[in-house]
Amino acid sequence: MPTLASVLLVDDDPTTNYLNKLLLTRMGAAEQVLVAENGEQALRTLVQTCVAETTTCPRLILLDMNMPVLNGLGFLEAYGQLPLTQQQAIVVVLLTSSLHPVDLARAQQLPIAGLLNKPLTKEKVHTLLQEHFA
Amino acid sequence: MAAFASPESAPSFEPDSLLQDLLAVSLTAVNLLRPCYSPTGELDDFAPAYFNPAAQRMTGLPERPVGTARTLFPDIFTNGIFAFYRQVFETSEPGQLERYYQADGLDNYFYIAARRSGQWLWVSFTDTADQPRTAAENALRERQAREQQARAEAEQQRGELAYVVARAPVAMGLLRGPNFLIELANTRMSQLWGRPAEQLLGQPHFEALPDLAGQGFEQVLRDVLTTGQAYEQWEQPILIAQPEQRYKAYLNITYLPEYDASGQPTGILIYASDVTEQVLARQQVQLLNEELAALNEELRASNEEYQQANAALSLSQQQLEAARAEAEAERQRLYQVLMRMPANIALLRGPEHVYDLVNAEYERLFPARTTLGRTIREVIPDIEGQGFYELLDRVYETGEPFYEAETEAWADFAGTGEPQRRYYRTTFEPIRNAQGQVTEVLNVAVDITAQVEARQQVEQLNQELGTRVQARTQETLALQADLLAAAQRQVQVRESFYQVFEQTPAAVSLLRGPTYRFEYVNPVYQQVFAGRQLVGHDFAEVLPDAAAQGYLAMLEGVYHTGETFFGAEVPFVSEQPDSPPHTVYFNFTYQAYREHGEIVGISTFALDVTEQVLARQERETQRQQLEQLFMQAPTPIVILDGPDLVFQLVNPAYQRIFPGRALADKPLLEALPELVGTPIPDLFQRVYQTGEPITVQELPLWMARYEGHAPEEIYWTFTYQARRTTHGVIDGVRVFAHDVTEQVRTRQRVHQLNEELDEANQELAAINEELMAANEELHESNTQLSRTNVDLDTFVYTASHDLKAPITNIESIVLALRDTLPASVQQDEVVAHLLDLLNQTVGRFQLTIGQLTDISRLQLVHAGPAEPVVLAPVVENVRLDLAPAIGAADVRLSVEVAPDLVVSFSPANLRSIVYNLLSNAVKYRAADRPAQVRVHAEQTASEVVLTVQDNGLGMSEVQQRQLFGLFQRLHTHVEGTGVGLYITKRLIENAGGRIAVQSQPGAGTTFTVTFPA
Repeated sequence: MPTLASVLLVDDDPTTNYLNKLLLTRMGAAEQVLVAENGEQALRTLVQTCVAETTTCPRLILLDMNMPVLNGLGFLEAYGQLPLTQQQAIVVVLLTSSLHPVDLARAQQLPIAGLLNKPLTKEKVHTLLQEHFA
Repeated sequence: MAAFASPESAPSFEPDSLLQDLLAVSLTAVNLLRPCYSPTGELDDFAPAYFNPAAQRMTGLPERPVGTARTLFPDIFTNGIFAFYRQVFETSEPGQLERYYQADGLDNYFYIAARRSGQWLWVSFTDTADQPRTAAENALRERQAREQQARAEAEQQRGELAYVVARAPVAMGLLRGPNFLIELANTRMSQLWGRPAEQLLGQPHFEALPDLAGQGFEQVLRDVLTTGQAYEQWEQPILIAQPEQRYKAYLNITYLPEYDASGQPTGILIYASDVTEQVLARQQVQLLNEELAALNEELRASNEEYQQANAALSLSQQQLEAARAEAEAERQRLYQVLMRMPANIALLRGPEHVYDLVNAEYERLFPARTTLGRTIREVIPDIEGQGFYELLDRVYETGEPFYEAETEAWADFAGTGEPQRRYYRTTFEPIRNAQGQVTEVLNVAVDITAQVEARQQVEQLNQELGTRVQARTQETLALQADLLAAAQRQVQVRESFYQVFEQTPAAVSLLRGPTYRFEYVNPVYQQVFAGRQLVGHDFAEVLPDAAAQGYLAMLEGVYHTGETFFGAEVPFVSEQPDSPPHTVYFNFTYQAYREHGEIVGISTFALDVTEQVLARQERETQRQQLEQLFMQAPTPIVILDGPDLVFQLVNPAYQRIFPGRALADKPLLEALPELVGTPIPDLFQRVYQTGEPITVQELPLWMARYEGHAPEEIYWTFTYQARRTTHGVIDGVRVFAHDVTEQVRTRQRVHQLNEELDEANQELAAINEELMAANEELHESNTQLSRTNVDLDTFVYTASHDLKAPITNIESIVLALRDTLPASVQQDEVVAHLLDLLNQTVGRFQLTIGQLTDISRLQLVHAGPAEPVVLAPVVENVRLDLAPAIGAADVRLSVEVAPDLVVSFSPANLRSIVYNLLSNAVKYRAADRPAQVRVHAEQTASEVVLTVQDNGLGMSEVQQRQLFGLFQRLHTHVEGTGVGLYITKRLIENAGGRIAVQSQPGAGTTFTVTFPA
């Protein structure tokens, strides 16, 4: 199983973030886990870490949908506009509770690599890494 | 002017004594004239030389009057008599002339004979006034004068009636005989028929009016004529081919039979009034009615509740229609009965003739007796022995009707205990049932007692009168007979005598001996029996026809008694060998003549009065017809005479307006003082003053429609017309009425119906408005509910989502704890149990949230589209899915689903339903008995019915009510969230199906699902 240099968790629930960070760290799936509590924080983190080429620029973003300030959809729209050199290498996966069918349909149109239902488990992480980073 | 040969200078006439005697005894007037010539030699006058006593009597002139014809009889120069004299004198050809002479103090129908004798002209003339003025004759003449006066009055009445008939606003006509010859048609009838009366009179009805043929009138007329029954037609449509166009009219027509002297119907009186305008007006109203009904229909469509209300209304409308139709039918029936009302009518049932029905008139026959339900023998025992019972028996047994024009009946009609005699026109008519058996006899009797008694009185009176006249004339004429006998004895002057009678216009004969041999007949007499050799033969031999008609008997009477016989207008049917028999009438005398005091023969003088008799008979017939028309007219007619408006003629229909009141010969306001102060007298005065006719429309009067019947309200339209003399001066007022009750009633009913419809429409419109308001309110609350539903959907989704996040976290926390806790701790019994409980709790929580999410999905996305699904494989799949549970519980499952049964449904939803029901049946089994589940499906006419039946726990009624509710869990011992049946029901009902449950606690449960085809 590959170990990713950096993973960004975007979720407004600190418990979720804590548990997911713990899981990834324990599995040894990521060297560094960044956390953003909404879409805007996530954008700021990306600008800080990815404009210049750094090791902290996340390879994987696990993105929640419903968030205050800027939700998942809003983030994805703004993310598409960012002049990021490594953008092509970043994998964005939606991690969410069951989706409203209308939102789900819209998500299919967005530049995301995959979709996972909460909760995040070891099995799901394994599969994800195998799929996108093997 | 004056003749140059003046009378004074002319030779005077000196008859010898014999001739003088003859002339003196002659019954006819004889005078002798001498011609007078003008200066140009033209015969231009006659001077009288001698008038015999008869001529003196008739002209009132002396034996030798002074003057000439120009001064004595100036009128003969204009009426042709002078020309006749001159012609006879100049041609020497004897001649005869008949003239009605009404001048110079004469007023009669004259027979004049003239004959030239040398330079003289004999003139003989006679008339009925030429009789000796004996007392008996004066009596006769007085009778004649009275008769003439009566005739004149009758003539005046005839004229009056003719005017009434001609001008009546009701059309009247009289048809006669099997070809329906039009004998009478008044102005109104000619207008209706669309042709002038001259083209119609005397013509067969359907030849003169071919356009009326084939409209059903033939049968009606034939029926009236054959049955003698009156007939009425109401609002009869009639097509008349007018010169310009066909004209359709509606008429009320009454047909009344007219009877001849023997009681046979030979004619039909027709009264018709034009009700076209009323009918058309009513049809318009009905059209309006229909439009209203159509409007109703439109309103009816506007919504469901309105429709119901309208249906109810429509029903009541139909009821109204039906009630009206029924009322109409009843009216017809009643009318038929009323038609017969003036007669006594009874219906007698069975062989014992039990009174089943009697009309009012009949009841009045025996006011003190009870009729209904009793036999005729019980009710009228007093007619026993008069043959009526036997008659009834015969009609009942043979079924042959009985008619009699004049039936005499003795019974105690007056209730005095003594029988009285009455006369009836009687009918016994068998009434048959559907099988043709006689069950009843209808007795109709018209009381004609008054007519019969009047006729009998007249007959008696006539006989008495005849006897008296005979007696009084007897003696006075003896003298005349003696004179005649004296003349007869003058054999030597017989030839002269004959010569005079040769000229007389009367038929003269002398009969001799007991065989009445003709000794002499004058030319007039011979002419009556032209072609027969009379003189020298016996009366009975050569005149067998006259002998057979009673003339021989008259001769016998005179010969044996010596009493002169006077015949007035005696008919004689002449039977000549080569011409058809024809009737002539004579005024004549048979006088005995005597020789030596012994009767040896009879002289006869006869004047032909056929023309007068026929003319009078014709006028009398006409008068009777007109009077009948007038009297039988079903509508009131009255004539008021002079400025005081004296009732002159009142027909029975008018009299019924004022029953029991004497009107005739009284002034209007004296006869009817209650009219003072009403507008009626002014109305009469206006007509009298201005001559303008006035019509009063639809005047309601409380009166009997038929004689002797209960009064009812009848609407009449009255027409008031001025009556004028021949000089155009108004001298009276005529009033006609016609019955418009039915039209008024119908219009009133239609108006009422219209108002009711209007009212109903308004009510419906109000209901409609209310319903529309209610609809709007419903629509509003619907919108609100829809909004609330959307809000709820959103809430459910949001809630499920928001709940999901924390439970997911708890699940993750448990996982993290298991990873984190050292194995020793995890193996601690309590910790391990707590972790398990935590896992279970999280699991159930997630199931609940999952189903909640399903519900919200159900709301948002309707089940997938329906498609044909074969049911059997779906059931089989579910069975396989549930196989572990079925096996574990040892459930005996039977599936009865035809392999080709197809249901139209969303496949996923169908599976969900089957799964739910089958898993429930397994889950809620009873622990104390082997579980049995039966799945059955069948195709009905338009649906597929699926039943899932178990023998499980069952449910109480309260439980059954909660069954399909959300989050209803009826049992706690099994897994479940209480959402499954709610969703199942929603899925079925959303697709237009139904689900029902039948259950008994401790026995089992059956779910029945009906899928739409």
